[in-house]
Amino acid sequence: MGSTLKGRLPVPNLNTEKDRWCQLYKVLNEPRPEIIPSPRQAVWKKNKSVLWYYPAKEKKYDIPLFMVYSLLNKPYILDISEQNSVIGNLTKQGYDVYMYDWGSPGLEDKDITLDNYILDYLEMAIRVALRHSKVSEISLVGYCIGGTLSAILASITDLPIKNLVLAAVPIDYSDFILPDQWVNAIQDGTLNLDRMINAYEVIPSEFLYATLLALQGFNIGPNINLITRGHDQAYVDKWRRMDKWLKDPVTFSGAAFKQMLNELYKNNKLVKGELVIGGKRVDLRNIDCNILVITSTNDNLVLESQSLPVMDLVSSEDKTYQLVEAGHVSICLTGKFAFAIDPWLSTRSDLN
Amino acid sequence: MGEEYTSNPYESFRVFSEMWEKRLNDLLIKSIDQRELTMLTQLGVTAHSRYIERMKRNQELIANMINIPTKKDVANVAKLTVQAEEKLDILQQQIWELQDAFTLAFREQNKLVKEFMEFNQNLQTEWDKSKKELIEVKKINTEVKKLRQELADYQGTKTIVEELKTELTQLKEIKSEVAQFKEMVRMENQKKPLVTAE
Repeated sequence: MGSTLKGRLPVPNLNTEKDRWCQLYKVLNEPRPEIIPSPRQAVWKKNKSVLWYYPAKEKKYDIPLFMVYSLLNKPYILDISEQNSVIGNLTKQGYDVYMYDWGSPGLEDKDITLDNYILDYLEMAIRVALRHSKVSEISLVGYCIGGTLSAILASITDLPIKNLVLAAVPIDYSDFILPDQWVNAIQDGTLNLDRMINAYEVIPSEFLYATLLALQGFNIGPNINLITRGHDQAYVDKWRRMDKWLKDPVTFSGAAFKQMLNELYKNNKLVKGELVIGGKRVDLRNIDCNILVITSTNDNLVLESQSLPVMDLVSSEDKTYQLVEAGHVSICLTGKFAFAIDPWLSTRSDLN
Repeated sequence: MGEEYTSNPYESFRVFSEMWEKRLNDLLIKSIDQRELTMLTQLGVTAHSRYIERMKRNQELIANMINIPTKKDVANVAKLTVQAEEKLDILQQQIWELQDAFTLAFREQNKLVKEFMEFNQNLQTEWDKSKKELIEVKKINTEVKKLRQELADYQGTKTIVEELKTELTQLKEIKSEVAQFKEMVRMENQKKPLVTAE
């Protein structure tokens, strides 16, 4: 009986356990890892924003990619480590990549609106990229809120955008991840943050971090995963990089935050075709370039129902929808994003 | 040892915690999904906003009294830099437009010069051709002159032929007169023997 029980009881491997606890000790006591970006060059700077250029390792495609990340987080998640870098993998695949870093606004930027971000910053940055690359067309890749801004820009600009990739993009705000009563309260004005935004002028990064934490509820999963896979050095390294990125949020211009809350979250003007940017009405039907929309199966921040309507709203003939097995952050953290868009982009990235 | 069941004891812990995390989140969402709570939050947000507003006002007031710059003053200075940057951007765009215009003008100029050179070359070819033709024309002219001379000579011959023709006509007339005279002489000869027989 004793021997039978001995054979069935799980016996921990001492070496594994030693590795696990050493790694955990390092996580707790060592400074956060330094993120070393892929070889890049600053092409243009405006205020706090920077346009980075990542040349292809061996150029295979004529049309470069222009990546626009969210305004809510720092974009280095796209280039988090050498092995799992989205940008690194794209440059290895033969694309020239431009990435626009919005920067973190200060008090002097409190009046920057979405209009300014889209027309004075993003549109100008794309013009600079086009001039720098000396090509006549570009592929615009927008992620999360960056995708929303890219879609808005694509529908009002005369820029030669050949391909538009929207990943984890919130377009329809009739439903979002908050509980129903909270969504209703925001939409009918019971919950109005205008006064608080005016008081703060620039939304502090701590506020955004706290909001993100609150949206996740009980989020012990990552910590449990760290303990469970603590013996795996590669996993721990990835976990630490993600942890650093999560705890490194940006500030948000008050005017843009208010505009986003009222025009998108409250009134859902983008889908209704009532949004006006720089005096132009944003009509997504004006988008007629090739379009790829990507959503993740485990995305807990942007619902699939928020991204899908864009497929019917644009007038593009070449439109593709793709569902990827990943989460909102993990699609970038693992570098999967580069492999998800490559098959579609590679066939559309040569000049006619 | 080989028969021992070695596993990661934390794996089941992870599965268990995942299950609980999901249940707790569902419970949390259910418990906060209340209208009253949103109204209470609005109250809290308003109170918090009032507090921040008052704090900022007092901060400005005190800083003004003791004459020290606040973050707002620094921001206003920083805004000037941003404005200067914006002006630079506008200038850059204008330079681009000028560059584009120059490039276009240069391209047009090149096209024009090329066309002019082609025209010039064509003109040269035409000139050479005309020169050759002129020589030919001169040759032809000489020949024509020669022909004219020959024709003039031919005109002299023609006059002689005309004279000869006239003479020939006169000769024919004489010949015919001689023939008539001959006939008359024959007739006269026939009449004479008849008279002798009587």
